[in-house]
Amino acid sequence: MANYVMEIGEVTKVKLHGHIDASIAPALMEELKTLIARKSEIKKLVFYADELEYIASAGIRSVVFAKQKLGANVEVFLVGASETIIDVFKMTGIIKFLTVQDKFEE
Amino acid sequence: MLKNWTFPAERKFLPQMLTEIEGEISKYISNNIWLNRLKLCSEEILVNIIDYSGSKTLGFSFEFLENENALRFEFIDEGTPYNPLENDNEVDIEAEMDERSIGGLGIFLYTTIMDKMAYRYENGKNILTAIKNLGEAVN
Repeated sequence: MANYVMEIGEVTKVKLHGHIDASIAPALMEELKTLIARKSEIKKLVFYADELEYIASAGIRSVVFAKQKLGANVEVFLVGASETIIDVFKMTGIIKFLTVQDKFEE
Repeated sequence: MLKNWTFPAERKFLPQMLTEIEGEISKYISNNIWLNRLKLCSEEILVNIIDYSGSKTLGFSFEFLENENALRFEFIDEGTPYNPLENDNEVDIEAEMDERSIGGLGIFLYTTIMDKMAYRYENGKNILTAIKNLGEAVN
């Protein structure tokens, strides 16, 4: 079972759940590449993380990749993440590029 | 007490490895943030071994050092000599997004989180040890 679900639109939603470890992250990266190919449609990218239990650096790299490719004008959200998930984003310094929310508010 | 495991050195076995690791270190660490950090370090080290050592199998063990109130991790493989403490890309966590390198986060994480790390190549084996002191913040 994939550990993410995507919905592409002006507000693009990526639901992350379970464990995004190095055995899963390459597939997530490939999916994000298909999403980025349609970047002209995207104004906001929302990672829903309320069911995400664990993320490794390979998963963080996917988020960095998406943010870099989408550019500064696309706001990237991290929504509903637990303190352990937020901690990983903080340690890697990626948190400052994300809008962190408990519930998504545009 | 020393506990150890051996697995095929393949990414598809990572979830099983991580389940074993979490089960073992949770006996010593109750703080969720630190439990997650040490699991993360272990994964980053394992992925380096899987991707770069060329070994068919890998082993890892944990030992609680009572006198030092510390947890000692050991990772062993029989691949080509490979020091996972080298090639530190010196990740700049203050860097702007455009300047961010997409690699190097793994080594940054485990060298930052662990208190002591050492590598040696001995009898045809890569041996990496890591120590985490279990102070008040960690427990």
